[in-house]
Amino acid sequence: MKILIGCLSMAYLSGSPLYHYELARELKKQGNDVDIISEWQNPVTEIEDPEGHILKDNLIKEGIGILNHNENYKTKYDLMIMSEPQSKTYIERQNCPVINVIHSEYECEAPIIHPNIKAYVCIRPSIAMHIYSQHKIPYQMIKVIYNGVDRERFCKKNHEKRDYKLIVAPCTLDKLREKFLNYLIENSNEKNRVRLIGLNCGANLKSSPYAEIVNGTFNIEKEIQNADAVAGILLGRVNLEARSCGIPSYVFDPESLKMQRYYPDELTFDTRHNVKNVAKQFMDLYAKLS
Amino acid sequence: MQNKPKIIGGICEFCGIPAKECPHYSVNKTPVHPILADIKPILPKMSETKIADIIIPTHNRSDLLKQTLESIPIDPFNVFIIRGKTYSQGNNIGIKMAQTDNLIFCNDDMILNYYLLEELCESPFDIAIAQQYLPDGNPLFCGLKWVNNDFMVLFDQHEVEVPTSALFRIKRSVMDKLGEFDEGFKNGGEDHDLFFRALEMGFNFGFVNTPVLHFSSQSSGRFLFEKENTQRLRERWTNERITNLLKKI
Repeated sequence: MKILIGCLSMAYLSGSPLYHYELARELKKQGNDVDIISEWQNPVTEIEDPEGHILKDNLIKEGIGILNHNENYKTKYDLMIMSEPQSKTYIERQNCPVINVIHSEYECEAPIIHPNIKAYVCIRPSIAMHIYSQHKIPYQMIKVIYNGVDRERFCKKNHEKRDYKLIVAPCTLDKLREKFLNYLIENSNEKNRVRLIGLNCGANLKSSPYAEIVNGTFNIEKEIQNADAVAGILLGRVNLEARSCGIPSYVFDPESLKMQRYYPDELTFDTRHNVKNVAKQFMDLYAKLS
Repeated sequence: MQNKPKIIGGICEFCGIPAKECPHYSVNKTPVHPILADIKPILPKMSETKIADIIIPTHNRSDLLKQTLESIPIDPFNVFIIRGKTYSQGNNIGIKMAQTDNLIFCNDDMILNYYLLEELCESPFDIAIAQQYLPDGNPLFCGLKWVNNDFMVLFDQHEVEVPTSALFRIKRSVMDKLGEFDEGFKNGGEDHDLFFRALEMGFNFGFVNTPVLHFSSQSSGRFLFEKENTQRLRERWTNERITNLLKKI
């Protein structure tokens, strides 16, 4: 089966590009021909991600087709999986069934309205309710399929012994997360140290001798496996990756700073988040729509 | 009891849409994007055999029941509507009539979809639960956690010790071991009693991905026996018994 995945940008290491990266790899492993159409040079952020190119390099190595956003492709696809409003232009280039994936409640990721769209997939229930109540998407077209995690890569590993706890927060260091990041910095101390890992995109961060800020890295599994706890916002990828590694993780609301521990049971987690199951859910959905 | 939302300047304060289109006032008009409204409903291919029985006890909200029924793709499901009985009596009648291995218990004031129903049937858990949301997009509580000898209401499904939902699926084999809903409860507490029994017997539960829209407790008389139901539940499920059963989870 030929599948085209489309999104705004694959040039930086953040939630949406990593989602498409993992999904494309798994769909390929499951026997499909997969191409991705996107912007590959320029990230959505104003600052270039030094490791953003790794996604493209790895995808090419694994036999996944790379199409530039302005490319007028010729391949006849069986299915398109499209994210973000800008992908509407990709949909308009060919008459093909489309699944529109919605990654957040933010307007920049609003659902696409187009007759070729056969189903709307939301990565968590609150988004499903948001697009129903705010964007008037028919409820019969909505299905929730959660973010997928490569569980072979994000697996349990024992870390070095220390006389302090290390809390790791891998994320884009931006204004949205500024309050959350400063909360972690302010609460760091000798016994509870903090390591913030990510591209600085304008966050005004405080300093502490117990809080370290380092650049983002593609091999984030090593950082997570070495942590005592992981912190993130809005049940992002890092919370899932930490759970997959057996590391306790905490989900913060970026505004209220209300915090919840995220540690679902193994059966729930694997059913929902193992990327093998996620890809299978897409294929099952397609089988019903075609 | 949840009050009907007010209409302010012709707009439903709950849904934020004109009262004429608001599901609280005109249940036949689910708000749909104007462009998508012209597209015929896209339903997936249906199974040729029945995959589940949907049991719906109903009281006096035929308008909401109509909406619930319209949201169920009939082909793969048996649907039983039981009127004029309490929630537990209605469910018990439905169980006796059911023909498949998947028993789905559903209130009469919900909007479902095929994907959700299919997830309920395919869930690996003994009891599969759907998380409920109000039509305005806000979540309803999805379960309870035992804290200091009392139950705390939760909106986050990952911390739930005892689930709460008006839409859940129980496997026939599990139901046979659990026994019926206790008809001593009158429209309240019977689902908690059933879930407590299930947990005590070692059955597990889990939430499915796709949530359900619930117009929530709009039948008249829904809370008429609340005091008696609570008393019955607490007499049967003492602090000690609850503490012991939660140790098993």
